[in-house]
Amino acid sequence: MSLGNKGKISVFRRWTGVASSLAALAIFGLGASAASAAETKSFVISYFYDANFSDGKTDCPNGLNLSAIDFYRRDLAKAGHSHEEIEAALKDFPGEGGLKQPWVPLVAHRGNGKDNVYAHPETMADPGMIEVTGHYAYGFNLDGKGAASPSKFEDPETHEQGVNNGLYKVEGCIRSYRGLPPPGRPSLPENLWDVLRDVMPAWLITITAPDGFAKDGPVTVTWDRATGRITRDASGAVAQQDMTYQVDPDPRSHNELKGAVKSGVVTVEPADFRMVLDPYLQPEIKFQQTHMRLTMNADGTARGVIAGYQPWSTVYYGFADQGHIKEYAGSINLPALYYALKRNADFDPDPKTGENRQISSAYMIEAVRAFVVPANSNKTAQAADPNAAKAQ
Amino acid sequence: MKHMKKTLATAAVALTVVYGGVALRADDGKPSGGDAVTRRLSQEQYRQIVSDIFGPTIKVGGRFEPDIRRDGLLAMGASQVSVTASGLEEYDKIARNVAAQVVGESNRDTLIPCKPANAKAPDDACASQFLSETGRMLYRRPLTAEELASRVKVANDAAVGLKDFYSGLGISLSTMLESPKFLFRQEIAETDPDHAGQYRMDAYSKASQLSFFLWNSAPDPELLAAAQRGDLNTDAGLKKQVDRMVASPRLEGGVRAFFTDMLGFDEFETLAKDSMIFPKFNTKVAKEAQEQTLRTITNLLVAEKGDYRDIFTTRKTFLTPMLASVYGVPLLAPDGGWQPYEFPAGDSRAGIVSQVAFVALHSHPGRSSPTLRGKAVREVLLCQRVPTPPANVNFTLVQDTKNPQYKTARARLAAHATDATCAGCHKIMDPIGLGLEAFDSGGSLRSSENGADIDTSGNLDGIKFTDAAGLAQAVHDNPAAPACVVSRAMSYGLGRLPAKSEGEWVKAMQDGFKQANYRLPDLMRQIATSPDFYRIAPPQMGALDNPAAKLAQEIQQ
Repeated sequence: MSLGNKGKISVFRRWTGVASSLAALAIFGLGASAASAAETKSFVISYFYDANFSDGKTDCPNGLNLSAIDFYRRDLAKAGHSHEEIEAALKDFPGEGGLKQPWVPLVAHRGNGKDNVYAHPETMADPGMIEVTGHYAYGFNLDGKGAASPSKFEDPETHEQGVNNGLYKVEGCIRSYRGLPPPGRPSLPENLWDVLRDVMPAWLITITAPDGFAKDGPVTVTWDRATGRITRDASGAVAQQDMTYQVDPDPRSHNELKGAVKSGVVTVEPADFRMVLDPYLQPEIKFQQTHMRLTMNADGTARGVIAGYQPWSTVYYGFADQGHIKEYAGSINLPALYYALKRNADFDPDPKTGENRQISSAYMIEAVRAFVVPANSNKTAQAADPNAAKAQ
Repeated sequence: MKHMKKTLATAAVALTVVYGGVALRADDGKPSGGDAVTRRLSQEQYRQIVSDIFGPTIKVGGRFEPDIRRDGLLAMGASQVSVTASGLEEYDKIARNVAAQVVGESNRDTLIPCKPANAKAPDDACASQFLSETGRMLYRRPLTAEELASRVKVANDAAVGLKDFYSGLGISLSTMLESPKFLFRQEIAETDPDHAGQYRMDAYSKASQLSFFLWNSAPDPELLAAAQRGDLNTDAGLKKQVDRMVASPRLEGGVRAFFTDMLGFDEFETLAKDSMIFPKFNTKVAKEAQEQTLRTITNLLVAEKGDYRDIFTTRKTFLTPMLASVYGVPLLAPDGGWQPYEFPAGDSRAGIVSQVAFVALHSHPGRSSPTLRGKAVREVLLCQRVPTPPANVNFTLVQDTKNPQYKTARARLAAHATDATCAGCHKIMDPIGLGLEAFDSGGSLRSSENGADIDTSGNLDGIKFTDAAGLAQAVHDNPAAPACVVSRAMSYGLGRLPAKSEGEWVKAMQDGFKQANYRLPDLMRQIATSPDFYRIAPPQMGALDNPAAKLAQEIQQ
């Protein structure tokens, strides 16, 4: 006997049918008859990082931002420290990076000499940030102005015009935030996520198509946190495919987005979005005007971009809470970042000052197929829905 | 130490038996009974014995001598191995480490039944009490007066030198742990008073035979006591002990050990998969896959007292979240541990042959192998021998998985089989293994290879099937399957193949297994209560002159 298409369908339904029963029936409360027509695909996020386009040619024609030791020398000199004093402090830079290193207190107070520049970046004059001036940026035209948008970016994949991605503009010429070659993972965000995902609850995406995925149509997209962490596959780099995760009942990270699927690509209608993250990276991702596109591949992987406006102060303090460590490890001049974020904020003006409080941002999503079990279920997946296995 | 090296290196000589302290060499073709064997403890047995005697908190670390497989079982290879010089050094390290833990401050109060009058000086009375009791468990018989005296003297001398009673006791204990009397199981023969001219194991050898067969460990105090009383030499006494042991939860450990050996799970230690091709398969999956199969088997055969043949068709198993991901099924296990799971009727997963352990173990690192899988079904599960391939076989076609002309393993093997020198053997393996082609080398389900649909049809001894479930049923129904496990169980317990003269006994065990509805505990009970299980072939004239037998005698001295 040849398995042929029967075999293929079996695998496919194992993924979608089970998820349909578990997620759609339990999470979305669809009736059995609706579930039979609906299909659900669930994913666990393997990587989530700043969507920064770096081709090494057009993105940063004005050069890259200085590495930490160089901007420390510059900033400390501006702050009035003598050459001898600076070189003595930086003699063994960075050492083990601990607080006892002589350069640490010096750079941490390089503003007015007494206040911590990471907590109070305004105590230091803007040291300046080389920003992206290239043509391409991943993301979406969040402000809806298209080519008329103040942002002239074009998405390199969709070729959408007027893409708003102020965060990329700010950080795209920082060495550790360049995604080389496109669509590469910037080294520091990749590293941070790689560390975080072993200690942080996994992030789940579940997509339900009431009429199935075989044809274009509406979908519902949910984002949740899981109760457990991801499991890495044999490569150690990617999340193991087909693992089972349970949804965290905490409503703070439950998002339901309306959207559509077209030719296997899922997009959503603009909405608010919030996922609790981790202070090690950033306490949370909280978007307004959320946009998303996710391409679901036949091999069970999915890749896409989620974007929206988020408070720039949240972004800044996500960097600043590790102070000098982020500065020297990522060559990120934090006071410069503070001013650049503030300067490039492009949404939600403060009624009193008129200054924008949010900045357009985009993050890359890499996910793998997973089974998702509803929150508060104390049964095994199979026990929770005996019909699920039969549906294979 | 030097003397011990010499003794150990030559002790485990095959087919050597000690008759009442006199070493002789057995031979084939005896009217009853088979050759006696001397077997080296396996790593698992060593660990289990230490755990049984001293508790699970005592850790056994170190590298053990590698085992060898003979006639399908490591248990038979155990009678073919010795200890190398470097192996002895490892045993010495392990023994010293175990002994140090036993006499260490945190354990001595619970593991040593007495306290010395002075902890900084020898105490022969206390040392004697501990070494006598512990030695009885380690040697699986009471120590002779000379043996005990010599161990007490070692403890005394060391305590004087080290000015510490416990250190001295630890050194003496370590010498017992690396003694051939502990590391090797020897069968001691005595004349059988009920059968003139025949020999049987003495009571303590019987106790060991029983215990290692049923529990994969040394006899417990109750069994040793039964041996001491002579109970094991009576049918009623033997039956009472066998019934107790078969009813014990420890039977599961014995069954696990047997199937671990029979299924060749030691080969997982060297199993490698290409993580780029099979990213789901890692060392954790490999470990859990073995455990899954063993849980499936012990649950069916021991807990549910089911039909042995059903291990080939049962859909009831146990999964971890990681394994579930390989099977592509949802499984929520809040603690990340094992959960019962039942594949639905009609699923391609049926029985142990379609489980990850079997299909992954009998595959290549980067591709499946219908040939290896078919060979394993024949050799491992049906006890049928498949000839080894000639040395000059050209495997180019089979190995070229990117050849657009032969996209599937079936196509590649068909092309390979056009070589007449290959076709003969492949036709007894490939039609079986092709039924498992829906499972890749990592054990995951697939429906195509290189874009071509996979055909899972095949046949086993003329029984045609269309998929893995059909193959499972064919193995289930094959009379060679239960006959194989009977043969393996007997060889496992005996440490040797049944002798030609034991043919009737083998037949009786096979018939008994069938009458017992193929229940494995009943088979093990039948074997364990059979007098033939303890019978040893009479000595041959001139056997005393055999140098190997003489060396084996050294172990006794």
